[in-house]
Amino acid sequence: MQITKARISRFRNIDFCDLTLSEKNHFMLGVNGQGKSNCLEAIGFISALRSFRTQLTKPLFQKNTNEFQLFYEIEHERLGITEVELQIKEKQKVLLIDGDPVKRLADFIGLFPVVPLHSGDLMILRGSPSERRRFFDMTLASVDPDYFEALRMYHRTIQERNQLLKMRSKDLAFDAFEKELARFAFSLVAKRKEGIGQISQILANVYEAFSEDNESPLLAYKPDADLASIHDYEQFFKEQRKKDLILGSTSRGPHRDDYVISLAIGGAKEYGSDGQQRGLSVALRMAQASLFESKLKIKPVILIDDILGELDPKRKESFWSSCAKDIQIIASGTEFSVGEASRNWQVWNVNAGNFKQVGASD
Amino acid sequence: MNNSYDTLLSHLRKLPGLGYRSAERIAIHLLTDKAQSGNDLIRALEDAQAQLSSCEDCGNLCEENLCEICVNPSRIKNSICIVENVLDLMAIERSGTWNGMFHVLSGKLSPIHGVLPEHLNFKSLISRIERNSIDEVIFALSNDIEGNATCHYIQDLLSTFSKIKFTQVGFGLPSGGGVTFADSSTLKSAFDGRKDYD
Repeated sequence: MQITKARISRFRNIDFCDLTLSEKNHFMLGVNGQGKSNCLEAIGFISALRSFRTQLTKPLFQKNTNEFQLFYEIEHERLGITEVELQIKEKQKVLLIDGDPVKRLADFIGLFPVVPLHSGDLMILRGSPSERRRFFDMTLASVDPDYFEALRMYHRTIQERNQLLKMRSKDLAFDAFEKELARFAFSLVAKRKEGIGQISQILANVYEAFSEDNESPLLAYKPDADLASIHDYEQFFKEQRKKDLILGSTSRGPHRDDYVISLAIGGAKEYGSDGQQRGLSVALRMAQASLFESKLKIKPVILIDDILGELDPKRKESFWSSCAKDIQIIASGTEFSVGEASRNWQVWNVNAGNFKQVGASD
Repeated sequence: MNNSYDTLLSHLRKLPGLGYRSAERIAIHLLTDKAQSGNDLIRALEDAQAQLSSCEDCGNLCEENLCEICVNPSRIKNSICIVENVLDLMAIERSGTWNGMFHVLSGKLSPIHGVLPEHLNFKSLISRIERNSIDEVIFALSNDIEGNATCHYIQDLLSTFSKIKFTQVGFGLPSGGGVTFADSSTLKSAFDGRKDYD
C-alpha cells in the first residue's frame, strides 16, 4: 500500500499539516524537536490506532485540547483508493473508512500495515518481557484475526478472574471462568508457537544480511506454562488459585510468557554488542514487514525515525538491499544521510510543526 | 431550565438506550405536546409496578405467583431454556420456535461488573430441577466470556443430575443477512457451528 495523502490536525506540536505523499520515498529533515518524529508517529497511527512511541494518549494531545484528527488517502492492494479518517479523544476513537464507521478493532487491525523503525525498538531486546510480548502480540494479531481475538478474550478473562480473586469468591465461580481462561490460554500458546516459528525463519534470513560473521539469530518462544491440552490449563489455573488468592491477581499464564533472541555468543540481551543489538532490532522490524507482506498480501509502509545513522555502513547498506524498491518509505533525520543513492527522495523541511516540501534528492 | 425539569431529564437519561437528545424529546413530549399521555403513562407505570412481579418458578414477569408460560399445560415441561433476562425470553417467545419452559437468570456472571452467583436466579433453578423431571437444559445466553462462564457454572451446579442433557443455541449469521457485513467474530461462530448440508 502507499499513503498518498496525510492530514494531521492538533497532534503533539503539529497544529495542522497537509502532506501529499504521492512519491514512494519521503525524508523529513529538520533539527531536533521540530515535529519529524511526531509526523511519523501520526502516520503510524493507522496501523493499530495507537502510537508506536507511547502507550498513553494524553501526550499526543496539544495543550488545552482533548482530541486530534488524522486523515489518510491510501492506494491499497485490496481496497483501491481508500480514505481513512480518525478522530481520537481521551476515551473514544472514531474510525471511518470511506465514510463508513468501523466499530471493532478486530475488523481493522492488519488492514493498513505500517512498520515503524525507531529508537524504542531496542527495548524489544533490552527491555522487560512485556516489551517483547507487546511487539510479538502486535505482529501476530495483525496477520491473524483469531490470534487477536484469543488475546483479547484471554486478557478479558484474566480481568474477570482477578476480580474473583479480590472478592474471594466461591470455587464454582472460579471453575467457570478458568474453563474459559484455559481455552484462550491453550489457543494463544499454540498460535504463539506457530507464529514465532515463522518469524524466526524470516528473521534468520533478514539478519544474515546484517551480520558480519554470518551468524543466524535464534528466536525462541518461552511460554510460562507449556501444557498439552485445555484440560491441563484448567488444572494449572486451579492449582495456582491458592497462591493467587494471596496475591490478589493471576500470577501465571501466557500473560507472563517471554521470547529469547540469541546469537552464537549467547542471549542478545546479555551478550550482544551495541551494534549487534541495533542490527537485530532493525532485522526484527524488517522480519515484521516481511511477515505482513507475505501473510496479508499488502506491502507495508515503512517509517524510519532517525535510526539509520546508528548503523555502521555495512549494516546500512544491507538494510537498503533488503528493502524492496516498491515499498513506501517515510524517513526522518537531522541531516539527509539515508545512504541510499538509487532511490529518489522527496525532502521535506520540518520547522516548528510545519512541513514544506523542498524538492527531490536527485 | 428548572429543577423539576432537570430531575425528570436525568431520570429519563438513566433509562436504557436513551441519550440526552432522546430524553429531552420524550420529556418535552410528555410535558407540553401531549400532557395527557404523560398522565396515562404514569398511571400505566404505577399499575404495572403494582401488579407485576417475578414468576416464582422461572423469573418471568407475571401478575400471579406463576407466569403464563409456567402454568400453560401445553408447554413441554421437561426442557428448560435458560436466558439472561425477560427481554430475551420475550424475543424467543415472539419467534414461536420454543414450546418448552424458560428460566430467567436476571443477568450473567461478571465479577468485574460485580455480578456473582448469589446475584443470579440459581436457587429457584435448582429447586425446579429437583421438583420436576428435567431432561434437557438449553443455554440461550450471550456468546461471550461471561455468557459461556455462566453456562459452565450452571453445568457444574447441576452436575449431580446425571440425566440432564445440556445444549446451547447456535450462533452465527442472522437470517436474511449476507456474509459481507458480518463482523469477524460472528463469521467465526458461523463457521465453528457449520453443519452437514442436506
